[in-house]
Amino acid sequence: MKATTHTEVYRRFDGELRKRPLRSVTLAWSGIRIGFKKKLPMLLLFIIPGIFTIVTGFMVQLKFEAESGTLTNMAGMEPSAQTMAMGAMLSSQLGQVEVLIFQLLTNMQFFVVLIMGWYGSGLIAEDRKLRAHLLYFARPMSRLTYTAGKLLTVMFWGSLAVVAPVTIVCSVASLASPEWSFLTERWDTILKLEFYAVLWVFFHGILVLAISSLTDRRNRALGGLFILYFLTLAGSNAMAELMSGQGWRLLSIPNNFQRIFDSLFDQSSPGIGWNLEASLWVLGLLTFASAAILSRQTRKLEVGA
Amino acid sequence: MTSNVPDPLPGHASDTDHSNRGEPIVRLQGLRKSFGSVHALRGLDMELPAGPVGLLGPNGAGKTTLIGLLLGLLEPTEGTAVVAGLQPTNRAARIEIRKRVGYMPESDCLLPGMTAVEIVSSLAKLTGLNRQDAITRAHEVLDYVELDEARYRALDGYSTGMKQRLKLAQALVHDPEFLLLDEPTNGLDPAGRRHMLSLVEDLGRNQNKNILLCSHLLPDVERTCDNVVVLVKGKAILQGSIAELTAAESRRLRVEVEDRADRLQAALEAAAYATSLNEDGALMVTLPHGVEDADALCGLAAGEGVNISSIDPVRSTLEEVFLKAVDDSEKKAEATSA
Repeated sequence: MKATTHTEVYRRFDGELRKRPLRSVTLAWSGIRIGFKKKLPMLLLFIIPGIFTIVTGFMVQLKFEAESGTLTNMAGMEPSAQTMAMGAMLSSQLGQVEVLIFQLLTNMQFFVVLIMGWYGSGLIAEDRKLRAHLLYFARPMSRLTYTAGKLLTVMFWGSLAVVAPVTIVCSVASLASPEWSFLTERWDTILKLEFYAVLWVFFHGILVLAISSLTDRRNRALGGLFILYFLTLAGSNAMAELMSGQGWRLLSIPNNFQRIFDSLFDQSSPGIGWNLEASLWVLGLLTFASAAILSRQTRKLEVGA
Repeated sequence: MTSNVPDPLPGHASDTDHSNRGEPIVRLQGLRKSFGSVHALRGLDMELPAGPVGLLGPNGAGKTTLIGLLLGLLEPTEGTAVVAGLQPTNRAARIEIRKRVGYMPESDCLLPGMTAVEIVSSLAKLTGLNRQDAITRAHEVLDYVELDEARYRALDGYSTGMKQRLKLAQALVHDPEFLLLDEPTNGLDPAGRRHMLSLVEDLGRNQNKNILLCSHLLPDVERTCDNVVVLVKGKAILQGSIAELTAAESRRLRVEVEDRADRLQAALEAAAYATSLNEDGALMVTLPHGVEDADALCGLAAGEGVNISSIDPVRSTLEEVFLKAVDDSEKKAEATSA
């Protein structure tokens, strides 16, 4: 019996399912594609990080260009003195470029939170609202794969805002520096910068997802993230001032990241005098709590709650 | 439908070909599921035969929980469930079940901003199809559900009917042997409903898909399914072939008379027949105990001078069967609690 209104033929699928498909990457890619379709928010969110990156890249280029004229003035000097002078100048140049990149990283951090909040807040909340998770969990997909897919999505946007600019500026510095000296002399700094950027993106990614999993409204998740972020920052700084105790600043996420930054790059920030371990503990506990929330909430989603 | 369930190999595909219409697609034995003090399923024993089966039940009957168990999303508190030859005893088996099952949820569940092709191909890749197969297959199933050029448009402008057909397409994309369709005609206008039902009918009757159709719309189930299960308060209170359940009862008759139906009705009631008068003027008559055929009824009509034009046995509708089963179940529960 052929259905009266139906004329199309059903075709069987005789292919095979892959044994180990990268489901989290597929899930992440579909989330990223949705993000790319919204052009105006993307333009507004990325315009300032983009300008920062371009300006810093030019400044790094100019820093090396400006000093190249000094080399010609050294032509009349003794060879040993010339070598020493050149070495000192290069070291100073590299140090100045490092400072520029540190500034870029510091300036970019809050934009990264904004961008990750914007793109990440709806990832689980919207699924819950529309019950889209039913389509995912009805497939051979575990909660871990689902969470990893969502985390990759939010980390992609975060990376675009901080890892990519740092990589671009480090590449400019390497290319502009005499004989790739920035790459050969400061490779450890480049690695640390990338590590710090990825750590920032990972931590905020898991935090954004945990908050997103607690609600079914994207705006609520976004609001929750900023309330948590800025209340703890303002509150901890205020308490530290009022109580004259630096320990209060441990309650703030950016202060703890600043402590890690100081430790990685031998910097010293005012008002941050506690041990690195304390910051690692705080951020570790927050990561654990976020992962626990995600685990619990995705379990609820999996069973259709 | 209920019978002794043989022991399948836990977590392994059985050798049985489940596309074979003789083999049950789902076997449940003593299946219980509780959420704290709430008992969603209270010892389900049933076999769902291959082919299209309707799942009926009032709200809170345990249909969603049963779907969750069949998809391997929930673990039973007690008892066993075998789906397409697999027993979801561990995580790997539960995941394996989902490769063989296609699920069309009731809720909207489609993320706006994507096109139909993107959604279906992404979900195909999530199921395990490679990129090329996923795209080819997405187009095949979208052709099947007749989403023509609209497949390249973002979902935002889709009608409810198009969304429902898209949800069916994503459930079919990996060509599963068992389809779970949750309220597929929900929110559809008559034309959309007719189209969706024709698809379900084609899948169940022509494409030999095993289907569990959950619906509140009994005519939908009656049209598309061969068998039905009625769940009430976590128990299957009725299961069987729709043809058998709605079979004509020899004791209920529809009597059409040329005139003076009221006179015949009064005479029949005086003789202990139960009667009611239809809007179309026909008398619905239930024979009293001890009366086995319509001869006595004809005699009464002749005695009253009423000419009978036809007497037909009455076939129950699925709705009547369903309501009677639910009423009986409630009465039984009341009697037990009293």
